Amino acid sequence: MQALIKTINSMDHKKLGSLFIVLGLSSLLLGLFFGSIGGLQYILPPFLKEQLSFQKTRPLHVYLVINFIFSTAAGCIYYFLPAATGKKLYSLKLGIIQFSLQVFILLIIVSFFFAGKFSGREYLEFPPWISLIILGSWILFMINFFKTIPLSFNHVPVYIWSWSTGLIFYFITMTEAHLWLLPYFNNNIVRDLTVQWKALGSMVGSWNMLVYGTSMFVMESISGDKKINQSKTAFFFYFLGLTNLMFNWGHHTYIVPSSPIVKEVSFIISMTELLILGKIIYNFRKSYIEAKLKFHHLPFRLLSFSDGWIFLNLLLAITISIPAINLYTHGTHITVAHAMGATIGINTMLLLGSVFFILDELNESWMEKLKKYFGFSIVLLNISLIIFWISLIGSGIAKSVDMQQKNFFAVIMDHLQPYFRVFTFSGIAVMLALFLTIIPIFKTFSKFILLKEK
Amino acid sequence: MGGFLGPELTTVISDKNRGPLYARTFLQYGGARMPNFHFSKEEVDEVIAFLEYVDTNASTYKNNK
Repeated sequence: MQALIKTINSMDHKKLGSLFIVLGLSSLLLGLFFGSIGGLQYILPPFLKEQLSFQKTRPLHVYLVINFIFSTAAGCIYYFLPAATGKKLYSLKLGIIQFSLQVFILLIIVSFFFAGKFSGREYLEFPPWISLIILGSWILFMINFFKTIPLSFNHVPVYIWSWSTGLIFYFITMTEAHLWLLPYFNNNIVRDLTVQWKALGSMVGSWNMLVYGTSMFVMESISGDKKINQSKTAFFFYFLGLTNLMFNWGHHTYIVPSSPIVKEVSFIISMTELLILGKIIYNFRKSYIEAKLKFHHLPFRLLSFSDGWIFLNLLLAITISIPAINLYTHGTHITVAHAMGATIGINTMLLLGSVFFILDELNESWMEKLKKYFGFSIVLLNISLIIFWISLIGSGIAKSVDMQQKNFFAVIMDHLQPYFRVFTFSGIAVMLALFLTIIPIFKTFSKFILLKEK
Repeated sequence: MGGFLGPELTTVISDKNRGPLYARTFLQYGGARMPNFHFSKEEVDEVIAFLEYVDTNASTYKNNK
């Protein structure tokens, strides 16, 4: 208890940020573990079928991985915010309360999932009253953030805009995702589906805003070029992202009746956003090469990998957003490949890039010593991920062909077994690579958090 | 809609090869991949009623089939 009080008393924004990052990374490891069990259940259907069925492993995997993205992004924001604004963090206490609430939410949701208590809603499967606590903790985050940043938005770098938008829109979309509780929405399946996918599609946009904002700050800090985040290109990208956040849901609901114009416009916008982000990272790499900042090797490598994933994901997204193709790929693992490419290939690489940037600052000599080790684990992660991604696409194409032949579901599942084997084992390799990368990171963060002095 | 580990259920009720009895059997006993959820009779009736309702709204999907 005394150790806990000492830790709280010695808390500063960097330690607070580190706490959130440790929570986020722990959540990712747990999420990967349940994801791998879910994968094994594809090739071994009786595996834990009654005790921990796929109905439980899937929501556990999805919730924990989304929690990783939000917690790690929040940690990076807390860590970077005073440096980004030149102002002291408004309230450490609010941050600590938010962190405690987030740990409580994690424990309670995981317990509910284990007990098989669900809301019945995809992606937000926990009982809806828990969302009130989630929104409450988010309000604390918003107060802390908006009370810290400058009052005027003139000459503010784009990442402050990006973080602000992500914070506000997460609150809006999370609220919107609960409209199904009202009979007006719940009593009409078409309206319900449209609103649900609109809310969830925009929610992805809100976390992208938080993640992209963080990586933009890191790029600026590595290159020392403040112009990157004040440039017209950066703001053009930001406004495209904002429009994407509000209208990108169209391509999620091709089979739900809604205006084709909305779908076409949203498709073009979201594709442009990915291209512009790739362009910004490419520009950053050029300035990096010029500066020869070898010290920041690992964050740079991760950002470069995310660059590659952006383009692969872009190709896949363009293909499956064509309505004539979407008709065949919808409900197949091609959609899963799109989600995995975006969350692991782009979001995780960008977040790990920011985490490694922080680690460089916390323990430079340790990072230098483990440079080769991390270099290996990151390459292993990317090789496993590309095999995983291709096997999901292969499974999707094979299922689509079988569906056209009107085969029974059991026959289709039998034909897909070779793909399932590849995606399960490469998925386990992704998990192992991330375990290898993250476990040593915990040591540095826990040493830093437990330091007595500020 | 689509199914990843389980079959597509939007039109299970009007599907000539499946239908309400087929759906009821799976809900009561589970399958090779689906666990037995030990639903009560009322819960099975409610799920069947929902699937019937969804099926009536699935005209776009049926036209595409």
